[in-house]
Amino acid sequence: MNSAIVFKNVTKVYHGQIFGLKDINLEVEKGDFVFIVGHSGAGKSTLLKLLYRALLPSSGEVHVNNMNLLKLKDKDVPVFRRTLGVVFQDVKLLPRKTAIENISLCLEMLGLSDREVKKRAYKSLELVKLSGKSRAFPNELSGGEQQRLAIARAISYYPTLLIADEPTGNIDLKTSWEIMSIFENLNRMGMTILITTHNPIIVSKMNKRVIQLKNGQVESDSLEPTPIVYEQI
Amino acid sequence: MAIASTISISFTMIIFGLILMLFLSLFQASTKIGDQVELLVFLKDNVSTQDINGLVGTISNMEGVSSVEYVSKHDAWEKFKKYFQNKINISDIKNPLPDTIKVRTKGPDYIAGLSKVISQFPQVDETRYPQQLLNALNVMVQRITLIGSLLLIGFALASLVVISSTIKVSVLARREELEILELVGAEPNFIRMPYILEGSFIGLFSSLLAIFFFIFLSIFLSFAIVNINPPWSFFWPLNTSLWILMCFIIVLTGTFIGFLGSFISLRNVGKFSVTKDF
Repeated sequence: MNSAIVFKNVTKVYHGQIFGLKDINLEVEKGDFVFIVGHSGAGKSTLLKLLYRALLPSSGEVHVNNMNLLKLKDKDVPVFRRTLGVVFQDVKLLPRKTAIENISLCLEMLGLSDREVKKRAYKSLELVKLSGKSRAFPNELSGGEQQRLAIARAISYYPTLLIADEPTGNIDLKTSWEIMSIFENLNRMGMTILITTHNPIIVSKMNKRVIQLKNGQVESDSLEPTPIVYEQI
Repeated sequence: MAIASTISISFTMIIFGLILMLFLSLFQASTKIGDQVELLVFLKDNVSTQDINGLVGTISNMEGVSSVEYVSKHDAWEKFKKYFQNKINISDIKNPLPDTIKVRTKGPDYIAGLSKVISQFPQVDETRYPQQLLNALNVMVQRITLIGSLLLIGFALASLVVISSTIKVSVLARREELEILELVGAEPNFIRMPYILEGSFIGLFSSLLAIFFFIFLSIFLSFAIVNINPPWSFFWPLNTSLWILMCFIIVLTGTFIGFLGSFISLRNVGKFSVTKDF
């Protein structure tokens, strides 16, 4: 019962013929830090969407925090999503809300007091070193700052599992390292981290578990990145 | 959302209000005619003054009676002669008119029943009222009510389609925002509420704009057609209570349409973040 994520024979078929994932079996322990790597179309995004239930598998079972997502009723999906922290590839920040409002709005859904919402929101911004930009709108922030704000929003719930889809996709290497160090700190605090990335330098230097996908299947799953991984990313 | 929806709902409410005003004006006119109809109670010859006073008192206390007026045969004949003095020669004719009690009712619906009861009194020779006119009025009021209600309901439904489409376009423009809220775990009602409140407020505001239009229209028409001065021109062509009723219906309908239009447009909330590919 120590698994944060379990995929049991998961297959995802789009439009009845295109395979997104083929018979995937994998397990991520609580407190793990895992990179998912692979070419475009390898199935990384499909895997993540299955985790936050934006998709349902065509066959097999997906368990997140001991919850079978196939058995999850539609009305319970919002509550389930509030137990996860998700950093989306395109950040998905509310454009007409300031940085602090983007975080506060999510916390209000938890039914917290105004004082607690404010406290948590500022703490989350502090963790990603964005306290000075609390009143800025997303379009006033750089790409890296937007990513950090998205992380701040994701961790404001105090989730046990954080999922990030290409969090360093469109930002420079220096900012990418800053973001990775935030993830590493969160992992040290006990949070399970699952990241998809194309960046071979980051994957090699972080020295974490790497699951490589190819054509919707797990090609390799190792604790150490291998030279083959670099070539294929 | 706000400007397009406000313009759309305002125009809709103006047309809705015009139909409503026409309907209420016709209703008011037919009711007014009905209210002016009298029940004439002709008394037998040689009924004593004491009996007449007693009868007037009895009729006054009957349900549905608003006023009672006794006209003696002498007064009636004098009035008749005065009216016809230059038209026909009636100096040789003996007064053929009976003593009469004129009964005004609280509404045309009471007349037939009162006539039936009053005609049973021993002092009464016969009762008369314009039955055909009342029947025709009754039919007219029923038809106006039916046609008016159907027109208003039909128009309200058509407005709902137009308005929900307008709001739907605005919701689609904010689809990304809705999807983000879903993805971060917002409950459907948490997402819908601000939009529904906004839709209801736009409906309310648009209705008030429509009412301002009617105030100016009434002032303009009252000056141009019937030359009534303010403040009464505010209410023309309706009486005060019907005008208030009309405003109330417009505000209620506009707000409800804004609410329902938003609600219908947002029925897909909760499904935006789920990819439809399986």
